[in-house]
Amino acid sequence: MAAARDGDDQALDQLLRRHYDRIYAVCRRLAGNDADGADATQEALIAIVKGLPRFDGTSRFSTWAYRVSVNRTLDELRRRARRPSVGLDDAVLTSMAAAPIDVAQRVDVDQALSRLPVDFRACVVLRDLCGLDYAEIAHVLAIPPGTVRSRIARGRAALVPLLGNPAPDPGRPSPQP
Amino acid sequence: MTDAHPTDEQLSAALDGADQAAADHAAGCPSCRTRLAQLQAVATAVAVPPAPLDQLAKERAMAQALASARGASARNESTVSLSARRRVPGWVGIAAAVLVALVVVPLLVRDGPSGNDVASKSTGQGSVADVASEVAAADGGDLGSVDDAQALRAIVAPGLGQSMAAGGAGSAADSTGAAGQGAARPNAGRGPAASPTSTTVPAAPQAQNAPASGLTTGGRPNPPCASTTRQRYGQGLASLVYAATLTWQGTPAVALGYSVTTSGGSLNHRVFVLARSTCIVLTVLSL
Repeated sequence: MAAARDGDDQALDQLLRRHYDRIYAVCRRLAGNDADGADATQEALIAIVKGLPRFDGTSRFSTWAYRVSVNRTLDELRRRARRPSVGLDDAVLTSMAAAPIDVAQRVDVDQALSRLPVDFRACVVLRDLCGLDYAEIAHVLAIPPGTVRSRIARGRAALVPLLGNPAPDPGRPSPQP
Repeated sequence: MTDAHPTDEQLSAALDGADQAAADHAAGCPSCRTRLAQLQAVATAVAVPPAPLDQLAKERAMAQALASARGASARNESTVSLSARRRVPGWVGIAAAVLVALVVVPLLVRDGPSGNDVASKSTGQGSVADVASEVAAADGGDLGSVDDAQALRAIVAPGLGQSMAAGGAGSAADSTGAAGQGAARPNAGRGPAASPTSTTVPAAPQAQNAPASGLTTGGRPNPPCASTTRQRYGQGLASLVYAATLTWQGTPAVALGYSVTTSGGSLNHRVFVLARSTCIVLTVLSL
């Protein structure tokens, strides 16, 4: 790490290779398709390399790298404004979770995630794909841990009908915003 | 636990080990257990990583990132070298060129087999299979200073076209033991300047107007970083058909061109530009 930060090309190469797959995975899942995922990964790697001298070591490198990657990807998604689901309001999110869905309408993970607002998507991906805990996700996204917990729950609940599971029992309490 | 069911948020937190009370409730409540299983199914589905990016795209991304790291320092080095050049007498450049010719080039090729007996020597850097794939590489010469992929593509493409035409009917010496018998080997037809009847690998065609790089002189098969490239990115690569030296964005480098085994598309060659000292990929072209 120190060598990479000091400009050692070989150390930097090894560092990036070690973390590449996870960085790509999170960028890919946030972006929703291969092409945008590849672009986002490349942008993220460049941002990591450029930002490495500022990495202070107070968090794990992987957490910091996720932070850079997620921010770059979210910036890119917002800039492109390709996703009509970006900016979905609470009512839409809630209706997604509650609406029964026919088997034929069930979609894969990418499509399901793409229907979540990006802020919710990021929380779910960082938790379930990257295995970060609430505090780490809060650090990555610069939001309170309580918000992380809420967004993960609401994101998962919205994904339940989309990923092939039955609609929730209407008698159960709905998640609190 | 009270009779009130936990909310989705509480069950989701229970899934993450952050709400023990909700987990305890779900253990004894069929409805909540079902809901917990649904949330768990979502978490499990999201946890499956996406299919990995193909190797070429990965190397491109890595190369771009590393290039961005070198950008500032390369610019600084360029500035320094320009100002320093003014203070260097002309004879120093001539002396350096002579030194390179006498010392560096022989060092670069010292591990390769002698030009007349490819089969009898081990390169010491690559496997036998590697060597068999590298024997027919065209010497692209020294390409000089190149700063962007488009310029590199324009320089390298004719060399690859030349090598393809020249290698149409050829077979190369087989380092696995067929040398001396004129045996053909797979992919030999893709290589340049290989004789169908001789175990001697003749000098390969060079890029137009480019001085020899020394990497493949007399059929020398093992330019710097060829083994590393094979080990890291060998999947899909067939023969090494091109090798050249250059200075890529200020970094001394080698360009290694391979034919690729993919069929049905327009992608026929892949050119890796690697830092000469570390064999780190600086950029990758598909031609």
